[in-house]
Amino acid sequence: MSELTTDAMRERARATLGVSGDGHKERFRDVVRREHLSYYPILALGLLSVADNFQGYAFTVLTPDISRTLGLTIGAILVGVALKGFATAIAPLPVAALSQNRARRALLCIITGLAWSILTLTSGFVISLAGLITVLVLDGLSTGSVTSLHAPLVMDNYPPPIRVRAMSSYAAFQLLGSVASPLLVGLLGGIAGFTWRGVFLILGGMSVLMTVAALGLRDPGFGKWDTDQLKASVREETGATVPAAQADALSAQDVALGFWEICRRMLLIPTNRRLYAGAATFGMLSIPLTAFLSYFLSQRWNLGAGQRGLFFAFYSFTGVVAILLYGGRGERQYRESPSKVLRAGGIALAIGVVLAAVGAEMPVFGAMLAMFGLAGASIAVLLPLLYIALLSIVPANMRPHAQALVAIFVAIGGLLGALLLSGFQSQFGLKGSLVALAIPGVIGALIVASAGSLIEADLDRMIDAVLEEEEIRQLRAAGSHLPMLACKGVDFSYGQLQVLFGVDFTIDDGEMVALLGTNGAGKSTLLKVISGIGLPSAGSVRYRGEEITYLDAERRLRLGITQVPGGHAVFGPLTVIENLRTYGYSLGADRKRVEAGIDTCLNTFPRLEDRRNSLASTLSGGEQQMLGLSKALMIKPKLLLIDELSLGLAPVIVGQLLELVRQINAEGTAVVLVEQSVNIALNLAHHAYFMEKGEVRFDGRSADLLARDDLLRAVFLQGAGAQK
Amino acid sequence: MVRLRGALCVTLGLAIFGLSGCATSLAGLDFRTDKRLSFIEPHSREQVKLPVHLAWTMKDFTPAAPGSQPPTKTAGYFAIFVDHTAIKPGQSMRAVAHGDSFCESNPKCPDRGYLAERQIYTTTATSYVLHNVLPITNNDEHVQLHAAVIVLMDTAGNRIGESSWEIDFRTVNESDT
Repeated sequence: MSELTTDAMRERARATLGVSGDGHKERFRDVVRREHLSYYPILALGLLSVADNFQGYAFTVLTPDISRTLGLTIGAILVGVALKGFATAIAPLPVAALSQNRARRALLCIITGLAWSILTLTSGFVISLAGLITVLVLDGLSTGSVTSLHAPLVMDNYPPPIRVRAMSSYAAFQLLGSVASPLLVGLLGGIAGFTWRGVFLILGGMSVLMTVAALGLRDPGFGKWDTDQLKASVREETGATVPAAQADALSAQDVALGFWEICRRMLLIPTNRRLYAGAATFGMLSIPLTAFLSYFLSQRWNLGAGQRGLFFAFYSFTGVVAILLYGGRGERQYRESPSKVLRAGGIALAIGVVLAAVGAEMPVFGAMLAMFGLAGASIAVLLPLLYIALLSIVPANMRPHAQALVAIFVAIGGLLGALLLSGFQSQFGLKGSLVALAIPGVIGALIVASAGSLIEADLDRMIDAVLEEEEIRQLRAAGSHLPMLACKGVDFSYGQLQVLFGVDFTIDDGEMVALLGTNGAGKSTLLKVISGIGLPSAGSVRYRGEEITYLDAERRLRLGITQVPGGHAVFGPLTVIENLRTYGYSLGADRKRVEAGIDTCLNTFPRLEDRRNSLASTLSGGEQQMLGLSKALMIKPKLLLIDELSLGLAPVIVGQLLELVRQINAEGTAVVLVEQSVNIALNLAHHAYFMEKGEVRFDGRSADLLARDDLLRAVFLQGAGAQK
Repeated sequence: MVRLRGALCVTLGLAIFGLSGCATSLAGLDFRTDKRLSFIEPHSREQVKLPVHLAWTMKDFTPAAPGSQPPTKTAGYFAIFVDHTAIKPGQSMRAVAHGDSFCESNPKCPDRGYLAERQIYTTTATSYVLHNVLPITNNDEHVQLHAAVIVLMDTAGNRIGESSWEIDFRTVNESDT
């Protein structure tokens, strides 16, 4: 596909994802009708999130009553509440793991909804601290689905043209729980005359009914409205049909990312990293805010529990109104550019925290209420904007993980914030603490807004990955030849130092390729990216057409990719035999194969047989390389990556090793040979790459490289051509 | 996935263990607020000066001194806990001394003096005067919020049911001035 076509495809893909650049928005109702959608998913998820709010809020308010009834100290109950907080923070991770391979998010939402409903009911029967803590912790664990699955389900239920509004409606519903809970608890505990047991019983019953109302929720599948649409557009462009599975292809299970691989991938996306930092600082603000605000209202304004509940209901209600009002504008901003959404979110957060700080200083109750109302409205707007921004740049099946990580970072921030603000309180008093909350708030706002400068590139990367995936499928379906390994546009950085810049590299089955270049050109780094020791910040690595960019190194080993690192390919404190056994572990638990492999190695390298019980660190450089290369003999990889085989070795030894490399290659193993010595490399390989300053400067036949004095002069062997 | 299943099994096991801390019958559990007691003074969250006068009205409960008649649920005396966790339903004041080996070894302990040191008082009357209210530990606020909780005790000295009533009042922390 030509460059122009790729750009055009990307532009079209952006429009498919709702980023049309024009800011025009269709009416929500019109899109719902046209696409035969329903409002039910928002309603069902909203009801579940409202029900989720019940137990948590009731516990917060009714703690003194529970303490009196059961004769438990507040401190003991707070231990339970802290454990619940921990459970709530980690619960989204296993829920994300349960949903990553199969689109069963709706089912998980319903099951967890039923679980927390039953737990809310059970809360009313607690008679001891053990029971209380268990209920609290289980409730925390069961609510993980709200954090990790609800927003991704909204994303997959509604098409991009109305997604911001759909997400805003859901977020408003979610916040409505914070309005309904204090009112309900106040109503049941005050006017209706129920004890805390009665309140939990009734809230649990309501929660069960709400979950029953959500039973019709169905998972539409991963990426119905985005990645599937993008793939369809590629097929439309090429006129192809859905390709059938290929017999020689790797199975989906071979290359499907595991849980931690997905989490790691999420952390490699620059926008995500920025947003997670923003989430941590937001956590510093938001989690202690409720506790400090409650204390502030009690101490400064002498408000009782019921009145404080009304205050929080008002605070949340202004948020509901603001989200609903802002939804349409947010949609337009997203269509123009997702970066605008993040900048708007940052600004809203900054305004919110400043208003809260000013509110804390207000001498009149009405003015304080107004300020906090406006602050609640401003801060609430951030929520749907963050959801949309984060989930737009992440593959659909990984969205629960992206969301779960937000929860973890918010919790970490909350913990730090609580510690920090306790210090502030002892130093500057309660009002001082509330004003101090503005500091992490404004920092968080700046971080969120700054992510706006990254999101466009990350959106394009996500689009490119989907388009490339589909193109590869089409090529495979058309019977086109695919290289064994293909790196495309690989960027890699060590911290802030970027060392690879858009590197393209391919190797075919059974081929031997030389990778040459100056010191620090990025050759070894490229091998790390291929073997999985290093993960790129951009670009893709495909093996037999399947993406393995973020696959763990040990899983790549199982696919047949192994690396012999330069100069230190052995475990020094282990003996020769122990080293060989460690290579054998990669073969699994088959002892016979391991022993046979060891025999092969020792037969091939008799010098290793002589030193079989010596520590690897005591071997000579040549012997160490022999031992390192034995890995290839043991594992029999399909692709062998060799880094600096000849470095510092005597020519005789180099000759022996190279002969072995030739043999390995002749038996069908593809070899990538990184060499300082152009002589050696080009004598062995027919295809060569030349790298300089992290970029590929030459890709072609070895003989042609020898003619490129401009490249070779800079390096080492001007006379290599003459020798050849 | 195997590890996840293991974690789920552990969670389930813990749940079964922990939920044994929940009641299996409704007997003794109060689901409706007991409105027999109403506070007269102070008003909720009122700022008061020492001595603090607590007064309340009580319906359907006959005041009776400890040991004056066989224990029933409708007769007995009041126990007032100021800024102190109330004892559990069915427990006696011995529970207050739990962990205090000196008091536990003395059959007459806890006595009125021991309880008063911990701001726990008993009375058959429907009022009580708090001559002193201790500042709340680790709270350096100038105006402090205190909580007085009243529970019912039968004539055998055990707490009756789950009923409890709380009144919050505020005092100026004298040690702060």
